[in-house]
Amino acid sequence: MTTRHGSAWHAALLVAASLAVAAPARGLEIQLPPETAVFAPSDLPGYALAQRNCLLCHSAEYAQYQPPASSRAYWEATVRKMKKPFGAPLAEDDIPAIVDYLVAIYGAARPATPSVSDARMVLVPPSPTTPAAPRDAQAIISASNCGVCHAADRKIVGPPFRDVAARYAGRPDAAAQIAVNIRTGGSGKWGPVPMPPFPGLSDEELKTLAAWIVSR
Amino acid sequence: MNSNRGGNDPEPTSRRTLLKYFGAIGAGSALGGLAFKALATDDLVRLPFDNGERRLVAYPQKRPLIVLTSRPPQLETPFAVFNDGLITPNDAFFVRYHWSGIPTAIDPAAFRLHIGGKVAAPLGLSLDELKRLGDPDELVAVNQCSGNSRGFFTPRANGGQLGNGAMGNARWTGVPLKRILEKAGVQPGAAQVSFKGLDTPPLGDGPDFVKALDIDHALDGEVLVAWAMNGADLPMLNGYPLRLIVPGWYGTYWVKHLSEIQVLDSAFDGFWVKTAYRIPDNACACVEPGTTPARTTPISRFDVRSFITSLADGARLPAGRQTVIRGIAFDGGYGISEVALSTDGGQTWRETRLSPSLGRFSFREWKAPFTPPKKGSYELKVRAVNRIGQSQPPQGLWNAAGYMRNVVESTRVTAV
Repeated sequence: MTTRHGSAWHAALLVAASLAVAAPARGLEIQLPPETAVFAPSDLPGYALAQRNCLLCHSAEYAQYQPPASSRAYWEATVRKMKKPFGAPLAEDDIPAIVDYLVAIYGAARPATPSVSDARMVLVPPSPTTPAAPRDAQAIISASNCGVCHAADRKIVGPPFRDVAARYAGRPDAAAQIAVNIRTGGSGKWGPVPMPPFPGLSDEELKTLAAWIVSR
Repeated sequence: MNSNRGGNDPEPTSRRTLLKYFGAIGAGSALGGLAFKALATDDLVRLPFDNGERRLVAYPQKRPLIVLTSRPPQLETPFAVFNDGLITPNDAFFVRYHWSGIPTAIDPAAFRLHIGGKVAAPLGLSLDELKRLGDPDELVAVNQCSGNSRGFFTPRANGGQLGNGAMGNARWTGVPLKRILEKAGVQPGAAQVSFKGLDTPPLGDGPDFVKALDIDHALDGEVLVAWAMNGADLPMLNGYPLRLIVPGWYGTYWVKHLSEIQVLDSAFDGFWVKTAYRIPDNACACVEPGTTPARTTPISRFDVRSFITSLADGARLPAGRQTVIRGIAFDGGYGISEVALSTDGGQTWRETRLSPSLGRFSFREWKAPFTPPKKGSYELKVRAVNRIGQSQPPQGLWNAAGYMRNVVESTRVTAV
């Protein structure tokens, strides 16, 4: 990461922090703090699936703070409730792996009662995954489930990539700003539904993705 | 006390144990280091049940509160706030949402409250029009989450693992719902009234958060549509610009960002009434742990609760000298008639002195002097009774959803 990018990112974060509450001439506007809770890293295949699916709609504390003895039956019923009636776009085939992960990490099969030192684990973002070969933007978009909310040129839940590019057009920090928004999530810029954070993407992947979006 | 099941817990299980956390966070990528730097000084609290570590974060218009979930924001009031005064400050008031699609910018000039369904004249009221419907009403009332204190259930109940801080007491200013409905003209045959706010499911066809009250309740003159809380505009996260105030009833009915009222000629059957927020349909709203109730009914009125606020679990007080213990009590609106204190684990009880009432829906302050006769540990208990004789159970009652906890609370202190 270059120094120039670093300061642009830093400045963007400072601006975000100073604008937590705005009382413009027309009404009340707030900006929610960055989301920091993440799913605990695991080698289980359900880890990536939980990131891709659960975090689209809600933060990780929903799972993280459940009683440690929560049964597999509870987790299975809960994941199914997210699909129906709550409307999560969960693939039926992915449900068992997600349940495996939740039971192993946050449920009856977890290793031990968490202590204060374990709390650290849930606050630190997982180490960015380093894929064997650099992924292109389309691969990142597909792996991160971006398409659930974003399309090229039409609004789904979030803005089309084209509109994001237009909003930041001409700004020298466009790519850096978009990268920060992807990594930390955000709210209030495009409507009532917040953008979830994607802390698992590496710097390289963020740069690839942000550059691709800017070029739309 | 069944909240202390974590006997293996290395930390004192005080609800106010504050753990400053200075971890080596941000050792990852440079970008990660920047984005997550602020976390290194996050305060943590430990709620006194297993897996009860929580972050304290200041959300917009809020002081640092206990984060239950960050998206959507769900924030719990640190219990010490309840000893600062009977009115819970706006910046300390708890926050509860269901869906992550929440409004973060609202233009009050463009805002409209729509009233439709079985009415003579559907309305789209601006805030100014609403405020001109008549002199505003003011009411001090407790709002409490149905699942307040869920984390103390034994056996544990799934859901938001809250301590005792998902409650608050505020002075609400607004117009009676009755006046709005009368302006629209309720038609004969109306059975219920439904309420919807601006918050939305984030995607898909999830059931929008809509609640309903019987028509008689909606017209009782006590239910308010409020725009102010403790003399100021509602904070965004507490429902700006309008919220329904249902005195004595659980917070699930207090719809935030209220934007749509529908008069219905049959019982509302949406998910959040028909499936969620239901309790066992019996006198105690409870079942044997692990069993299923024969029938369920929508949750409604608060049960009786009381707390010691001036002493936390684990507190020390002087032996042989008088300490005035104080706390709060409340119920579903019949009014608190008596609060008793025990200093010997519930073997003997004495009456406390009730402070002047702020209204039958408000927290009621109580005080009692206590002089520990000698050094050692004491188990304090507090128990309230309301005007129709309802009180609190000595052992926690159980239901699968973890609603309506109102056990006689225990506070262990040491005289030194």
